[in-house]
Amino acid sequence: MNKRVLKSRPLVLGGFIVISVVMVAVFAPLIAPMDPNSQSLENRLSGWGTPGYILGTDQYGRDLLSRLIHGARISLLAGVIAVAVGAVAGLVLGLLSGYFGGWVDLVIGRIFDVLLAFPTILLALAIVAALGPSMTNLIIAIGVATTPHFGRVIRGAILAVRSRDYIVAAEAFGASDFYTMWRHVLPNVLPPVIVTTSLGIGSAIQTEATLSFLGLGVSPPTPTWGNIINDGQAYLGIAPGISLFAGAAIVVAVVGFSLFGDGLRDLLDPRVRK
Amino acid sequence: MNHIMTESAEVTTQSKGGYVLEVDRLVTEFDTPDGTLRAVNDVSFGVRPGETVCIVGESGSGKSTTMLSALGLIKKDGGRIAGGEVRFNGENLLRMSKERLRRIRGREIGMIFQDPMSSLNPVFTVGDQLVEAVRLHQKVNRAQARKRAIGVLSLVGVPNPEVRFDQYPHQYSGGMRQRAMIAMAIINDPAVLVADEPTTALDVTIQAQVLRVLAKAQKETGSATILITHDLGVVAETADRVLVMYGGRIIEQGDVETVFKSPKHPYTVGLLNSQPRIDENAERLKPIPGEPPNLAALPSGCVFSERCGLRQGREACTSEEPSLQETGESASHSAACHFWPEVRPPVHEQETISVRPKSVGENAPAETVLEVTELKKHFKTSGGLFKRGDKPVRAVDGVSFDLRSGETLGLVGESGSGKTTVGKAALGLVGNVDGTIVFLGKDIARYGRSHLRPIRKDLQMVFQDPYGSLDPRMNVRKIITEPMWIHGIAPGENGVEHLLERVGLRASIAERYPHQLSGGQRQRVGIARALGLRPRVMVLDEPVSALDVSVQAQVINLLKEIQAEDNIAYLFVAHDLAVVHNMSDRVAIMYLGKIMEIGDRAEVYKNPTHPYTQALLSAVPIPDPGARDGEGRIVLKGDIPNPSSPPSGCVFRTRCWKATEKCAIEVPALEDRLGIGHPSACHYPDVPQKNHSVTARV
Repeated sequence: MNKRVLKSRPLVLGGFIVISVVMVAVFAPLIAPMDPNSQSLENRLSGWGTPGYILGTDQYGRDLLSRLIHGARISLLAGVIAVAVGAVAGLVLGLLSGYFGGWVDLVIGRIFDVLLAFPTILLALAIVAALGPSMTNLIIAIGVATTPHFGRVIRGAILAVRSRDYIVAAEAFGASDFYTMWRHVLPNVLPPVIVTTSLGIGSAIQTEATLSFLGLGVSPPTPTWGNIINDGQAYLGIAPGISLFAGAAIVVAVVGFSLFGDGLRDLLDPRVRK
Repeated sequence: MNHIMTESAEVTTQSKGGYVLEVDRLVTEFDTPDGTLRAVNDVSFGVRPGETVCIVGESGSGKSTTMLSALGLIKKDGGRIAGGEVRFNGENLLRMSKERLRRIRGREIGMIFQDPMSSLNPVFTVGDQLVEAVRLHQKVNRAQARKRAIGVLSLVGVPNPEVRFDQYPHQYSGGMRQRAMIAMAIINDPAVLVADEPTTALDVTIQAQVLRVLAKAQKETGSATILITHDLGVVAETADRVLVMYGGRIIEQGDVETVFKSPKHPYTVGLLNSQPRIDENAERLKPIPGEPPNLAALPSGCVFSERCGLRQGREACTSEEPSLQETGESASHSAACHFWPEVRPPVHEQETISVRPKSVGENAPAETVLEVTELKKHFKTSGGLFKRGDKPVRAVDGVSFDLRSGETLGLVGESGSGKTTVGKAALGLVGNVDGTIVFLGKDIARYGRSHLRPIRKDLQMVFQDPYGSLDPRMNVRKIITEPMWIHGIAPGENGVEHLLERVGLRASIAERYPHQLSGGQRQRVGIARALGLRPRVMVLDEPVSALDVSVQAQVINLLKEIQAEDNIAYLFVAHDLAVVHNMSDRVAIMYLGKIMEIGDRAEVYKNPTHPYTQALLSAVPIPDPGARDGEGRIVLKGDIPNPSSPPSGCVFRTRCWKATEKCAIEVPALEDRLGIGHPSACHYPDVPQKNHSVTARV
């Protein structure tokens, strides 16, 4: 097992990035060289390499590196909680839909269809616009938008597992529906759930950044990667570093989670397992 | 052509004339994380025009890999040819350009695979694919190609070839698709025809049709045929010469008579002894111990040494690998065994009068545990929200039988006969059935799940697919104890170990996971799981059909032993008539949801009165080249009808040679019209003569 984990390059690289981002977010106050909100107007819009400001400053002279480090907290938190919400909702609905089939499946399936008909961003945008911009609403919006993705994956996995003989065998020796679902169905559909979660966090970070960029996320001055890009947008000509570094942070985090998810998928696939 | 042949004869001394395709010391390897596997090891053979060579072996024997390597198709699967030559008319196929090889494949060498659905392209009509096959290799125009295609379709017995030409593969039935594949393989008059398990996916009556078509196609084209199969019956039926493969090597070869009558390799003998036959009453099969070899861990010396009964601890078997030696039994018969002169011929028990160990019916009449009356199950196809569903599929349409403790009722039928549904329904695993299912005096047909739960432990099931029937995330101990835990039965001290011992597994297996076990071991675990509940009735749904012949015999013996000890009633659902013959006390023959004939095993096999039973029994290939009787065989015409719209009257009438108007109107009742002791559902039953003269055309 350990050997196989270490052999998988995507998993090792993705895992390294994911762990790094998490560590940065958790220990942000300790790592960040200064307070992300302390302004120093004489040093505003200085480029990278400026003494004291490794990545430079923004339009209020706030240290960009510190803001990015603190921004990781919001981006990650939004990503993880939103995906957790989506995963739990998707898991429950997917289980009901896949296991019971019939009209339950029909109703849940149509709801998923409707949600999937909207692009994720548009759906999240509509929800935030309706509820008003705030961290909580942002998470709800992303959670709702990701639910059908999870639901679909889980329903498919369950349909595949359901038709296996060991489920019939469980019925034949007298196991109840709930027991069978808990003991035989769920453990066998968890691998795709774990993989989807990991991939989902990447895209949730992107969605959060997009909404924050549009001003519908967390309100300033709290830094997030999305609103840092938004801040830098007006100064792209003078200080391109602001948007560039924030964008790079998003890319690295998303790539990290995607690689990690890909690696997990290979690792958990029983066909590859020895 | 001629001078090429002589040239090749100069290159190697082995080319003993006349081989159109010759494989010479072929070695194929696969690189895996665990090291290099040698799937084909030093294999040499040749085929002459008009000759049929069968390659027979169990899984992992290298029989398919040999031919894929020979035709340069192994790279796709990650294989590598590590040595040897494959000469087609003297030209080495392994060294020629891709372009040249492509021209030869398809033009000179036709190929037929096991699964015709994945071998035909679903988005083109069969006709288009045939025309393409012709025009790729011959300079003819479309009209000529079409004419040729229709001609070949009618040669392989596709009815209405002009209409069928314009249809897509999904509009063909399984048997028809295999014919289309054969048509495609022979359309360019190939010199060599390679067929890899061409009838394995087909029902036995369809297999009989396809084998006949294959023989006809070979006769027309005069091609050399290489047929790869695991089925000894098919070999005996078709082969001129046989190659027996094991662990990537040819371990015996020779003409079909010699290999079947006086084989000189212990493995060949073991294989023949493992195979149940409809013309023999073997009480216990004689399986080969152990499992087919794992290529990653082959024993040193002789590859068969670990399973061989002849070895008796002799050192030569483990120190030195035996090479093929001429035995003098017949020309070119050879076997790779150090001690081949000691090999005894396979045992035939045709004459022995069998005494069943449990002697059903001789003592006090056995108790009836299960009584099924007029069982019906119609599946509604759901049409979605805005569509209306199609006609219901009549999977089971009025089936009645009873089952006594300690006996085995074999339920035989081809695909779509409803046999599996009957098996599951008998256990209350199918909802919404009509009729009654009386288990020990209680009608459980309309019991809900909670009502059924306490009874469940008495009614257990063993499944066909050893891969799908065990939860991959549980170890063997958990798998076996789970049902007991649910029913509050304490497994007791060493309970799991004891159960494992009963099914012939070592106790150490308890901590393993299903993917670490072989197919045979998994099937044993499935049996142990069912046994833990001490059931009264067990439904065995094709429990051995996924296993290799040698392992299949082990599991059949095991099931018989368990029945004798625990007096369990078996409902044995299977399509293999030879296995059913060996396992059952009574048999019921099903067709399209109805029982056609039911009775004592020996009675039904000896005196089948229903035309379908007669055809079914006649279609089974017997693993004895002497029993080949192509003319007397009843080959049914057509396919099994769609169970959602079965024929009126007698459901079998569309394929029956006796059918009259009465058959279309009146449903024949299941009764003993001839007064010979067992009933059949036919208006015109008869007891066949030995050499049946009725031969329905293909």
